[in-house]
Amino acid sequence: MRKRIRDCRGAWIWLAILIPAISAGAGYPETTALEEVLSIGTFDDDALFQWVGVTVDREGNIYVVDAMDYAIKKFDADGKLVGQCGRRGQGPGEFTAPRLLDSSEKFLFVTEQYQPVIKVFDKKLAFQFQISLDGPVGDIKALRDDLVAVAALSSANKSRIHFYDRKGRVVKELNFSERPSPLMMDMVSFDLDSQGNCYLAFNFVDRIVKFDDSGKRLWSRDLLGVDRVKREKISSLVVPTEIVYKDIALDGDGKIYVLGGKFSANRSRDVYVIDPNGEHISTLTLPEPSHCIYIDRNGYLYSRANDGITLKKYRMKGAAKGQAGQRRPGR
Amino acid sequence: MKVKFSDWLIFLVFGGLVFFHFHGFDALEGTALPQRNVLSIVGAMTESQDEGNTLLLFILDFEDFTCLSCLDSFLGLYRMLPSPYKNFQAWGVLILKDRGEDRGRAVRIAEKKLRGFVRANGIAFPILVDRSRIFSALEGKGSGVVLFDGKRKTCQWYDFPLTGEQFEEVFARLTQ
Repeated sequence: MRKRIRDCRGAWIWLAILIPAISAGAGYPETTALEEVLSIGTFDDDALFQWVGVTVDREGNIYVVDAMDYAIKKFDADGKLVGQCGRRGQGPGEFTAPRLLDSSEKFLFVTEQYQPVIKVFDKKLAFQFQISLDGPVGDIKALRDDLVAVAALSSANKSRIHFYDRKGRVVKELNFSERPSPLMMDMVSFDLDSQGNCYLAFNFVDRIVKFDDSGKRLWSRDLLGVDRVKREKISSLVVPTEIVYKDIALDGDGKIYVLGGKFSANRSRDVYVIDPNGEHISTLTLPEPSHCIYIDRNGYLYSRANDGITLKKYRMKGAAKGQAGQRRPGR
Repeated sequence: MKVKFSDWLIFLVFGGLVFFHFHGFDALEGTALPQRNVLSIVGAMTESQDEGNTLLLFILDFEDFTCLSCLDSFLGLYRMLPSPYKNFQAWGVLILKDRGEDRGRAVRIAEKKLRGFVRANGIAFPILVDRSRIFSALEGKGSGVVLFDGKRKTCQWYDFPLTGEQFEEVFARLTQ
């Protein structure tokens, strides 16, 4: 009997090690792997000098805003440059600081930094018209050819997402915070699904929120345990200087992808994957820091490399175990 | 009289660059000198009375150009420059902060961005990329323009964005 126990002792030791490890592993969300399928822009070519916005159409053409070149560039699905428009200026089709980009069936919508305007181009890159807004743009989402949702940057419109028609009329708005926030603390990136649900990632607060089409809050999540971000006085204004979440995007299955900022285990590289009910299901890590993420209708993920001179396209595949976010004690 | 390249070299290297490297502008600005004249100029250029004895050195940092007023100020000044300055009587230095990354890669990225920047904005004067951090004392100082005035034997720094008064002052000194 004693011998049998002694013989089993090795097994007990292994179980003692493995059970906690397995339990701990089960507590960690899975890490999705990325496979690079396309890269646009090298050190030596003139394809991209500083890209800031990207969108992809139904045919797989990739449209990119190149801020350094004051241009929209169109690449085919193989990454070949097939068109370009724009230059520095204030005339029709010209830019002073182009930034965000999104597309509808017919049009491309481009924002200008600090300007209350969206410039609209067709898919052949011909300027069509511009939409005047109530304030500068923090984020946009094109919903239809004649409807675009805008998170405002201006303090006059804080805590609101406005839905504009092509004449610049507000046809709907979502109030996502009942209480007034300090300057910039209500800045969000957002995306909408086909049911009209709106997903917000606060840029300077550890908060990801889902609203339904009627504006009712369905859930709110914090992933990183950040109590408060650093705020500094710049000129006469006190503004936050540490970004918590940089961007949010949805895939065709309704999964939510949130790009972490300073407080992530891998700064500006960790992308938290959340199910439609708000459960953190996995984390993927970009090879290089990015300022944004974009997911096309086929589930490919686009992000930045080489500090903006390269655009990468990835297939998201498989799942490997790994630690998700790094919870950070509050300060 | 045409400005000789050797004059440029003497002026820039011994009159300006080395000083910046060892002291930086913060030290200069603490010196009690009238009208923020921060550096005495020694060299062949100072004795010359031709129009080429005022030079501009643009200190550029792409991080500052997310500040649109800084970018607009730089481009606005550039567009107003008299013709010699647009082409050869101004130089630029692109500051590359050390961010703890592969320096060679950072330089290649910066060179490409600079190529796009120069092309898109029609910049014609030469811009040096600070590959070896010779100008490390200026990292964090921000973008600005340094006016080397051979006639007045002064050197003065102006931060971008320039105020209206500063803009007029620089322009006046270049065209007088």
